[in-house]
Amino acid sequence: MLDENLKETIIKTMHSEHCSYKSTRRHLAKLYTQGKDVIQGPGENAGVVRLGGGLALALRIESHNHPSAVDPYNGAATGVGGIIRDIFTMGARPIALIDLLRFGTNAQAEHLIPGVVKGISDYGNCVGIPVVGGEVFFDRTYNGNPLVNVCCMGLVDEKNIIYGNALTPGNDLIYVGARTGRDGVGGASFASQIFEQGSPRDISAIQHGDPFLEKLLLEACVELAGTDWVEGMQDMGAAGLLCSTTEVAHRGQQKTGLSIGARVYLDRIPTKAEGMTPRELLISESQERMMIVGKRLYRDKIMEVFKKWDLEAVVVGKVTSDGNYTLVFSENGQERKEIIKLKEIFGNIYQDWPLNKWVAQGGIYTKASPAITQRIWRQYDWRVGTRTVKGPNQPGSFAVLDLEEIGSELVVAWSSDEGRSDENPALGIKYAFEKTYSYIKDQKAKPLGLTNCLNFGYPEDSMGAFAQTTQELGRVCKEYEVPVLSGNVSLYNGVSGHTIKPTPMLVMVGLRGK
Amino acid sequence: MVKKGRLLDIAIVRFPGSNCDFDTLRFFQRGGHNPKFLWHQETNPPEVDLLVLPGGFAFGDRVYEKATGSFHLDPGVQALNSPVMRVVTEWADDGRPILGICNGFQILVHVGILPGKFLQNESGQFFCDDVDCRVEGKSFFGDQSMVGNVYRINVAHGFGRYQIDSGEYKNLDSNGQIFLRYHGFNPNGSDQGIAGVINREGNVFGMMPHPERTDPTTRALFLEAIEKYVR
Repeated sequence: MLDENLKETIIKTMHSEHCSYKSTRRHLAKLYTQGKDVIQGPGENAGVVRLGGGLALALRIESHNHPSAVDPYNGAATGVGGIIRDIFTMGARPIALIDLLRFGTNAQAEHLIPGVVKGISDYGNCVGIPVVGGEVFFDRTYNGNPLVNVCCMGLVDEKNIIYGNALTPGNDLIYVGARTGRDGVGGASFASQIFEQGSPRDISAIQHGDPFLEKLLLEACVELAGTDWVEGMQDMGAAGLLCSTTEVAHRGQQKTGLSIGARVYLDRIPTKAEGMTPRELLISESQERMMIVGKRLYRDKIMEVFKKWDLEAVVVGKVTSDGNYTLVFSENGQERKEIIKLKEIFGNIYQDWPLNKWVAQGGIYTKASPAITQRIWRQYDWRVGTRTVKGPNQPGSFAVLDLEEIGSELVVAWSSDEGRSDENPALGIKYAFEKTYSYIKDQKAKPLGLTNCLNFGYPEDSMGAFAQTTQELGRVCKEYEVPVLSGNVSLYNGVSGHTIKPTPMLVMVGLRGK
Repeated sequence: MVKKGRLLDIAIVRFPGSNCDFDTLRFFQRGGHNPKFLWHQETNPPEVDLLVLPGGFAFGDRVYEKATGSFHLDPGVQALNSPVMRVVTEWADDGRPILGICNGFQILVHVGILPGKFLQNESGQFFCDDVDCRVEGKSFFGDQSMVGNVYRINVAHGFGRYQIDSGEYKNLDSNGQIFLRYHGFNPNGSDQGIAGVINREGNVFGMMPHPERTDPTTRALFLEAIEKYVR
């Protein structure tokens, strides 16, 4: 029966590693996320930290490793699109990108680099967000599984911060942006699957990005953040419509203590493909789509903003008070309803893995030469925004950005373990932390917080290393009082026969006077 | 910082996808002037001293009916359909000053206000870095004190290879209409290293490098040239 299938899809998708963090949540709970200037820690679209003068910084990092292995150009481009949306979803105007890349040492890796770089370049340049820094390393364990981690940060007035929540029954769920197609159907579970080299690679699960649409969405959303018309925003990323509409209601429940629910009319979803099924509509990962929780009273004003930016927007549902996730759609000319308790979707799902000791893989971990990195960063617009005081044109794993509006400068430093986690995961993450911390201190800035991207292999052989990494990161962050503001986990990195070395990447931000 | 003399009113034409809009706004604000945006749907000429077409990707370099619908790539074409282009064209015909930067320069060339055409960079890749540029000819906004000087200015474009046929080049050169050339390193393969040109009447300036991205000293020089010309 269709009903059962749909319900099963919803539960299965929301309980995938990508959406639920079921294997890693217990470990991530050890991270240090406190601080008097932390406005929002992990758990939202991005972390937010206070800068002073009424201004705040939204910060997050994301991986797009698996898609970039299959389709380097589109995989990397949509990775950039996703992380930019995470930032403006908070109401922040993005001001900088950083890309941290890892490639293998075989012939295929050489072919991946230009595609990944062009993907990042075409997307970021068009939206107009400078890539102010990054790093590239090579290791044979990245053969067939490159790492594409992109960090984005943006500025928002404290009073304009938007959260991914639905708080008030009766308010609108507004769909805005690209139409929904079959692209990326099942991407969330794709990212959680083992990658078999030589097996047919599912290129249909790779989405295509549209930076111009992203730019229009960015402008419209930042404009709306400056009004009192919306109570929430959520980007449609992994498991797009399903994840965004359930998450806003779930966060609403947590924040209000009320039995907030969501009702979605699937027939109203703008589509670009014929005859899409409810299942496809729910889990499609078509890019450049946003879910706006709009105050009912201001519906017309919100629609006016989208119209100005030439964006298609439709009221596709509403916030309810029944604690349910209700889908309404027609089937054979009849109206059908599918009702699931939100609690069923967001149960306490855990998957525990044996914490086996990491087995070192050895081999040489190589940093890309300045000649290679110059060829890369010259393809990125690193000055747009006119904030770049120290960019990729000068050496050093940090950037300095002008914050003219508060008379300060933002120092952004990044580092990974540089291959050291292979010998000892705890020492690896400690090295990465201390390096970023020293860059911030050397620049005479006060550390504000960091974002982390934890790239690991199969849980069977990597969860032990993962546990050591999070434990040590938690400890060292607490010791130095640098909170983790946000992050991302990428598991299942590897192809048949090998798994990648544990690869934690950190981006730390600090503030200094001019 | 407010300078001596009259403050300038400036309209910065904002197309969807113009991503140097705020940078250009700040460029003039830092000089104490009064810049404001002019939305691409505007049909009335603004009450200002100068029109600026900023850099970016107007309409994402596309032609479309609906932003969320199908499109094809043809940089600059969509902008020509914007109502504001009529304001721009009449402004140019009236001999009033216009500055086009990067994508703004491309649009001015496309609409025929400035001569030449643009191709993709010789490398086939987007290129962004600070490069040396030499001011010459009738200079930037006629400021003779800049002629012969080399400034380090950021360029960032994928289609910045300026082309002009040899007959037209001779005319431009002898008229002093080429006001900026890449000095030494040519980042895109432009003919004769051309980085900026002026129309025949001398009131419309187009340049690929971004003056708003320069260091404070250089920025002030470019701004002063505009101030002297407009006042």
